[in-house]
Amino acid sequence: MRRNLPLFFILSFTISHTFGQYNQGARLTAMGNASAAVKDVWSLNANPAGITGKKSPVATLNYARYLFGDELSEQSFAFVLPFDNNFAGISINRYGISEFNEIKAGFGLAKSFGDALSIGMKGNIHQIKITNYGNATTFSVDAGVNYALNKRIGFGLYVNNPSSQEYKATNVETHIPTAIHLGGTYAPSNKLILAATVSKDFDSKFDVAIGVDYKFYELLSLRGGLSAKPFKQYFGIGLNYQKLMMDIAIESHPQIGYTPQIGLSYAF
Amino acid sequence: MRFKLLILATFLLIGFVAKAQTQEDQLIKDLIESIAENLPEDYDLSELQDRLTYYRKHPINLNNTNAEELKTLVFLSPLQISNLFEHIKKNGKLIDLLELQSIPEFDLTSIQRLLPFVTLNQTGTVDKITAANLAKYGNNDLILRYGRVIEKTKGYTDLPGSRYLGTPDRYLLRYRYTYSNRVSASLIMEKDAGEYLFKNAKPASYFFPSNYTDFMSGHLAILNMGRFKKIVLGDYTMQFGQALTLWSGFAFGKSPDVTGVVKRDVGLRPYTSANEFAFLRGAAATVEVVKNLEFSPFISHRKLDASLSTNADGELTLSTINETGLHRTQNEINNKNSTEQIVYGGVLQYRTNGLSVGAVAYHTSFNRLFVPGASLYQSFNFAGKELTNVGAHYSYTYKNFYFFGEFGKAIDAGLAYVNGALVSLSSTVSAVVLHRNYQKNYHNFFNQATAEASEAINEKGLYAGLNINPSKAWSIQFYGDYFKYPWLRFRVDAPSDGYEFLGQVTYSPTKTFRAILRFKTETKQQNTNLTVPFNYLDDVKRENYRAEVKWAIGKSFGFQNRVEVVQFKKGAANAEFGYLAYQDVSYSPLSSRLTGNIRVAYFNTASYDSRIYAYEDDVLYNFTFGLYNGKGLRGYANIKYKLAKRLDVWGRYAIYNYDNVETVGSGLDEIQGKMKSEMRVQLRYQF
Repeated sequence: MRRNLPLFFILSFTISHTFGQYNQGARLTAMGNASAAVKDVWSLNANPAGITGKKSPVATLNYARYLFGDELSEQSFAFVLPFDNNFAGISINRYGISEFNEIKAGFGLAKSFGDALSIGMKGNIHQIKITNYGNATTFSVDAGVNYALNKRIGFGLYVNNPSSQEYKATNVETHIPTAIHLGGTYAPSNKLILAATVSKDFDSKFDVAIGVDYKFYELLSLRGGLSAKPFKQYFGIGLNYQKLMMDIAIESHPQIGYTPQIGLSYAF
Repeated sequence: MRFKLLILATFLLIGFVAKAQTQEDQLIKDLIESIAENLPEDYDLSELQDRLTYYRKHPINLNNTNAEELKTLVFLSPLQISNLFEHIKKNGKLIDLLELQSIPEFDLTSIQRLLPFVTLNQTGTVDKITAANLAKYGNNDLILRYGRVIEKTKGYTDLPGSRYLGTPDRYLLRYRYTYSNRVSASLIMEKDAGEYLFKNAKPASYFFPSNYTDFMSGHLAILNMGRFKKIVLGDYTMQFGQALTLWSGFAFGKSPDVTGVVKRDVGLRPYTSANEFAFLRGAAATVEVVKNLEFSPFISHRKLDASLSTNADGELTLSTINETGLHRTQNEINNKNSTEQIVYGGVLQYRTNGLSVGAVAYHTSFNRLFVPGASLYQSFNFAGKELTNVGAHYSYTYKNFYFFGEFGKAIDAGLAYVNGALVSLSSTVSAVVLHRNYQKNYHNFFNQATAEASEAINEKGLYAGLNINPSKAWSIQFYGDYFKYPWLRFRVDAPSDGYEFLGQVTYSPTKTFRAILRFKTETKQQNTNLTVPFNYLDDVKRENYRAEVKWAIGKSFGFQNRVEVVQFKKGAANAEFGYLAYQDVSYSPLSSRLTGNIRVAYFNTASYDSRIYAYEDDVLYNFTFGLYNGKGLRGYANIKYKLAKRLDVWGRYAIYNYDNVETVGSGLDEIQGKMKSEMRVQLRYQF
């Protein structure tokens, strides 16, 4: 237990500073999490309206490793099922070490109205568990909308936890971020997506993120991104073989250093 | 549809060419303003302008050129250049300049910029070097410039100690001769304010037995003599690779033109600027050994300025070279030419259209001993008298990717490398990524590689930029740069890091209207201002917000307005602000001998930390970035009058009028009162 004391400090630091957003999967992370108007399975953890981009059911696993801790990592799973113009999805994120972990699990529903407009909602259950201290639980809601102005330009808007839910337990300081995100995408060709998102967490300053997804070959995508507060850089690649996708992302934080992650998806 | 577009473009381009011919300088000015951000004050970029002016008269034949020549047009990106060659290779020679539109990466702006400087006709049919040709077809360009600060500054009064010994006048004589692309020669003489005109002008090198004025520079170059591509005697610059191993003269870096970080290496060039430091003096050549393989040997001897001290062994030592080129006080005169530098070496380059690789090796030696300064941050500085540098650079085009990079090594000292890629992501979007790692003991006297710090040492960083042109009217640029200094720096007593971000949107729906919005933020670390036993680092944040509109009324009047706000914040102190607003008016009727422009600016900055720089119009070949600091008004007026067909005269008057101050400036430059004004006259004779 004592061995992990420094880790607790780091954890509390990262929770309040980097965990403002829950992991959005290797693809969106590589794009700097500039995800408000990007469509992806992991839109489940960003703009829930973004899951309307899928034509067939998709399952995905994601694993992120925090290099400063011995065993600190985040594991996540998501599944999206389209039916008619409706889409349902579930996601689970687990972050931490064995003595301390935080879980977010949720269920989302989205509907598209024609090609241009789609909306989505998601309910989440949050749990923090600390060995020998007990645990705390709460819930939150995310909601978002996507609008495609034309084939090239799209916009997205979503909110996290608008009702500012907090953990009920009095001895837990961690809060669920309440934030609003507005973003756009510009896709000048079928191979390229540029994305930007402006985020406002009620407890911190404006953050701006931009990202690029470039399909170099049918098989290979190159990605990159930047976000402003703190100044982080992101790089990633995506490998796309028939129904199987593998995404790799590296996030570089000025204090925390590099955080690699990998995601595997299968489209049925 | 395509045909219509072509016609539309044709009209646009024709219109542009016609305009460009009447306003030859305007384009060059715009160009330099957009690529050269934050130049030092009064920087002489005449070498660059010279090139462009030369190509206006002798356009490059796109069907018969090479990458090195096209790189001298600094606004072309390396990817555009290799795409052009790729296009010619695939489709044969260009038949019409409008074909440029079908080449990937060539957007309308680039084409408009390029057109005045290129042609498809075989030019320069007369290029044999004979006495008659040299006399008949040579171009002579003579410039005489005079300027001074009108008020008397403290340095010129009868002070007991250090004072300016010369007169406050500034003189420049610049003569340039070119004959086709075969012969070039120049002579430059300069005296800065406060310097002696004739007296005490010590000789600067073996190659200039004596100086007639404080600064003298000149060259004679013969080009394209069979295997000998270039031979330069006198002053020259060497620019190779990514500026990490061997680069003298100015190099562009981070700027709103996000591709500016990719260096345009133009190899050996004659030196024709009045800047007193950044060049080599002696002899150099570029020889074609076999097809595609060139060798450039060079040797240089110079006397440099440095403040000398004596060490325990009685030997004269120095710690840094003084690059200002000012010799006004007794002290500065004593330091003048106090150190000799000899540099010799060679560069081997192999080049095909897609691939370029090169190797550099040279030796630098001094007659005085370098000792690192006493401060801890200086402990890895160069020590000794001799230094050998080697390096290797490459660039390679693969499909829509242009890879580039360079490795540099100082023998018995540090290593440095820079690598990057320029990618055309789609027809409207291109991206740049550049990674760099320069060790703290990477000693090199000719290193101008892309860096955040003024010197490309003790720095690691990653730069990424995007250039988006979604439509003809819109243009968007972004870049982000993260940098880390592993060792201490001046006023930074610990390893530190920082980042910079720039975003710019340009809207130009018509040729005569342009609006720009720009945001830039930069965060670095610096010693705290508080007095503490051990300095700790405070975050220093600087943000710039700029809005600019350029518009025109009729054909003769142009207007430009700019508002700029700077926010500066250090540590826990309150943020301070600086403001600048200006109005420019220019008058340039199509068929008038007289053109001119004026600026009226209001500025108000809380302190020097929130100062603002802005480009100012000046006489031809002089580039001024005005420093707006304090509170007051700034105004200037420039006029140009065509006295005769080959004779132009320029005049400039500029004034600062500060609010609520008793003196302007500091030290020997202090002026009693609240005004500082400056005048400049220039005469140019082309024959």
